[in-house]
Parts: sequence; structure tokens; C-alpha cells
Amino acid sequence: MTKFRLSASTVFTLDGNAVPCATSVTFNEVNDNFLSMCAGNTIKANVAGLGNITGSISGEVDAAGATTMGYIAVGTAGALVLRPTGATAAELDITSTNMQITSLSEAFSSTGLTTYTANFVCDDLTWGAVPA
Amino acid sequence: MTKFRLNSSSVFTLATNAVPCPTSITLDDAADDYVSNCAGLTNKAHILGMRTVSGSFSGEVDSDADTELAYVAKGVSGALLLQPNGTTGGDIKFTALRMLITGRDVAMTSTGLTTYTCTFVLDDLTRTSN
Repeated sequence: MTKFRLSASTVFTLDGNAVPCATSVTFNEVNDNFLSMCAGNTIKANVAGLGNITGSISGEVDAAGATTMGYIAVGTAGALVLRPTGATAAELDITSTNMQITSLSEAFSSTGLTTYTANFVCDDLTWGAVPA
Repeated sequence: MTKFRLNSSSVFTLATNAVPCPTSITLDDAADDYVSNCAGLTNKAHILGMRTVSGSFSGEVDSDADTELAYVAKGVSGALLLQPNGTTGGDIKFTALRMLITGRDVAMTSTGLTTYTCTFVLDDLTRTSN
């Protein structure tokens, strides 16, 4: 078992374009949960509803990054490919047929690097493996 | 690839006046998000609506800065120009036709420098290169 982090081998693209200088990525998958409180129950029963897939990306902004920041502009949508440890067969391959950027914040400071945070939603999310 | 911070080359003006002594700037661009819960879906679908562009900036206050503080008073509006790494060709540049200061806080203390924070909204935002 090999633990990992984002690294120089990481592949992270949205609509075929590389997400610029990502430093962290978070996925949040949650189902609606409806409670049944029938008098006949001892414990409330749980009924799962629709899922909702969201997340965020943080990264650093390049001084000449106008084009690459455009790859994650609000409204950008397309296929997600995230291979956190690269393209080695059997390693994690996370995909979505449609990921949309819903917000983008950029922070400039005299005492730190310029960074961004983008929030996104996905229509679906598949946790697969890089094929042989 | 060159990472950068706000520095002595940074250009940050509102209605052509230099924003006084900025120490941090945040730009926030977010779209309305309408969620579809059709029974036939596995996951909710998202349809994006209009964007809201806003932000804030903080800076330090000079002891004789009444003129400069007026450049970032509540209600001031005008064109935004932000070249965070300066005017070098190819470096990132942000412009807006109209930026409006919506609020300003000024904080004075016996244990630190006097600072200000402004919040603003933008009617538009263009990210391009010098």
C-alpha cells in the first residue's frame, strides 16, 4: 500500500486544459437524507435521495497566468481528469463527464504568494483506475 | 513560471487614482447556481446563472492621507486597473469598467499600525495580459 500526495506526476485537467499550479483539491459527495418517523419505528429510518457532488481547488497564480487562469474561469465546464499520482497503470483515475466552475477567488498580498480558490460542481464522479 | 506577491511594481488604481498603500486584495467571482432535483437523476444537476463579482482590499493609512483616503471612500466608483506584478509585457492584468466601493472600515490602535479595509463590487471583470 502506497500513500501519496499531489506531485509533479499529477495529471489534473478540465475540458482538456491543465488546471494551473494546483496545491490542493477537495471532493465532497453527499446524498440527501430523508427521515421516516413512522410511529411504528423504534429508530427513525433513513432513505437516501439524490446525490450532490461539489468541491474546490486551490492553487498559485503565475505572473503571466492570464491564459491559464482562463482555464478555470467561472462558467468553464467540461470533462474532469484527475490522476493524482500520474498515469501509472492501476493508480487512481478520477473522472467526471461534466465539471463546472461555479466561483473563482484570487487573493493578492504583499506578504505572500498570489493564490486562487475555485469551487466546482460535477454531474457525476467516477473513482477508477488508470488502465494497463 | 514566476510566482509573485504584491510589490513595488504593482499598479492598483480606481478611477485613475492610486489605491493607497494596499497590503492585500481579494477578487471574488461567483455564479448563481440552480439545482435540478429531477427524480430521474442519480446526482443533482447544476445550471449556472448570472455572476456576481466583488472583493475587498486592505491597506495602511498614512498620517497625512486625507486626500488618498478619499480615493477609496464609500461610494467612490470608476474604472479598475490592477497589474499585480507591474507593467511587464505578458504579466497578468485585471480591468473593470466600473468598480464601486460599498464599504470601508478604518482601524486605529495603540498596538499596531492604522489600517483600512474596503469592500467593493464590479459591473464586469476582464483578466488579460499586459
